[in-house]
Amino acid sequence: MSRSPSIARWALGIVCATVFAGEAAAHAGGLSGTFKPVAVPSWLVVATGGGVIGASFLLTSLVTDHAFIRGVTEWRAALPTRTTARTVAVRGVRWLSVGVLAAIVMIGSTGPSVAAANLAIVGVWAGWWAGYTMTTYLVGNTWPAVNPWRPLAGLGALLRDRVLDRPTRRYPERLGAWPSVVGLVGLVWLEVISPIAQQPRTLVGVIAGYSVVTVAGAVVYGRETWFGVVDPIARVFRWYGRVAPLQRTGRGIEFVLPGGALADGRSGADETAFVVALLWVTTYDGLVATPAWATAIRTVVGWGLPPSAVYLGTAIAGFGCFLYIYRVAARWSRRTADTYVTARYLRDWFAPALVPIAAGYHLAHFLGYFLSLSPALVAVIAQPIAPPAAIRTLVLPAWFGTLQLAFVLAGHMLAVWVAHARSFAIFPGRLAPIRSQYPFVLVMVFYTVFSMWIVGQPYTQPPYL
Amino acid sequence: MTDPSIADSSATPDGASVPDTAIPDAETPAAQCPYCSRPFRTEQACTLHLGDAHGETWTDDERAAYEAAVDDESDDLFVFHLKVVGALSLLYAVYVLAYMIVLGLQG
Repeated sequence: MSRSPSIARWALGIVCATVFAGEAAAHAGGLSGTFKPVAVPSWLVVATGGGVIGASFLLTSLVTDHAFIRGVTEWRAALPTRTTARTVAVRGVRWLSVGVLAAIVMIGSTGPSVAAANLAIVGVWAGWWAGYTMTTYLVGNTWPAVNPWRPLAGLGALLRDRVLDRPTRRYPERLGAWPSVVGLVGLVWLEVISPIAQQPRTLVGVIAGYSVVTVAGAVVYGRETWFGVVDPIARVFRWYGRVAPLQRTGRGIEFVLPGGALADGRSGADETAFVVALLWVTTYDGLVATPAWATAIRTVVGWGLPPSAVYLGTAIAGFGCFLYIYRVAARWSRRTADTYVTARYLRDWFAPALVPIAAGYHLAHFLGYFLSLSPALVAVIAQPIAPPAAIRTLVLPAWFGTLQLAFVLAGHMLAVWVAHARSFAIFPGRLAPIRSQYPFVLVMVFYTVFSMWIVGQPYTQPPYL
Repeated sequence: MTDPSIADSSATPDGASVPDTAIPDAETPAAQCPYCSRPFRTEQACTLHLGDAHGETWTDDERAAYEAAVDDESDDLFVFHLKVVGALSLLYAVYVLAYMIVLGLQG
């Protein structure tokens, strides 16, 4: 861990140096005319990203003390919290969130039809999916407290007990987290193909559909089962929350070092699939907005396939592809570590290391979106019914693109560290744990190159939507 | 209500438990941990595992064997770290050269 800051500085140094080199040269050129502006070609920038991940693995491999690694990942500082204060705050926030949901549905169905002026669109996409989601991995997972469908499901459960007098149904355990995997890929597919980011009425329809399914499911199977197992959104925030420094435990709230809450615990194959799906959907979301995608999809649709089926097919195929590559890496890791531990166990054991990558990618993708739309968010919150005619947005400086690349890299570097800590928790000695990471690091290097390429592409409207 | 074990399956810590293992049919494990019966492909891995996982309950002989195994591994680790430093230097050199060439061609 002691090496991580230096790696971060080194990585930032390289990326900044490369991108600012162009700018500095441009300024100098303005002064004397002897220098010409230069730009680093994008292939070199993404190759540098891959190199940074490789280098950060090499640097973490210098940290081989079991006790030190455990000391870093298990370090905890308890934060003082008053139980009564917490209970009151949680109750208040819970009903407030129901109010916000009601306002979003109301303004969405009756308010202005211009996307940027409607509270539903700006609130859900910029406020919730961009802004709120960032807090879950940067601060802590507050979703169980602010999830508006929980109190609604509570009301439903009350009705069930009083009026129908029926017990909750038992959730079929063999399904595990698989419904949430299907739900997550399905939701992102819906987000890509339908105009729910532009048309408030469509968004309200999707929210209403999701509410009906969620409340009904929570009433039938019980709230804890539904939000703990089935609901994809709650699961996304729970995984993101494990990246965060603040962790809720039985004793209160604890402060942990980055990745500390991801370094322990093992989950099943369904959870592994969910983590891979989380990584895939963040990638897919960016991938559909690249020029290369637009060309490819036009070709495929030209053969006579319906566009929405192509989008669905690629969403599922991409997920399958990610899962397959990850499985191959786990099988390979079994050989490099020279161990009898099963490939299935390794797959599930290393899956939490993928979560920081998804978080870093989310931050790269959505921080700029959130900041540029934040004045619009403030405007529509202040005047939801009659928003000002001219909605302002922030114009981000050119160096923001560099910052995005740095976020992608930071997520990957945290992932390298989590995988390192996890390998030392499962393999004996100091060389076997390092060797077990070879396949995963190789996959990560290629994935970094791929995701940095996506982040660096100019935004292209996905065709046929 | 519901089964709490499935209610929060993502947060069940069992890091201390023994990982699932599978031994190919044609193979016999070189060693097996006497405390948790985890099989290992090499004697050295088993000895190192004793020190990492069962440091509180082991015997004096096991401790001596562990210390010897750590010493042995340290030599291998030193060579490995030399390779790491070599790889880092190579990586650095390749990137510096790549940037010099690319920026040089443009300038």
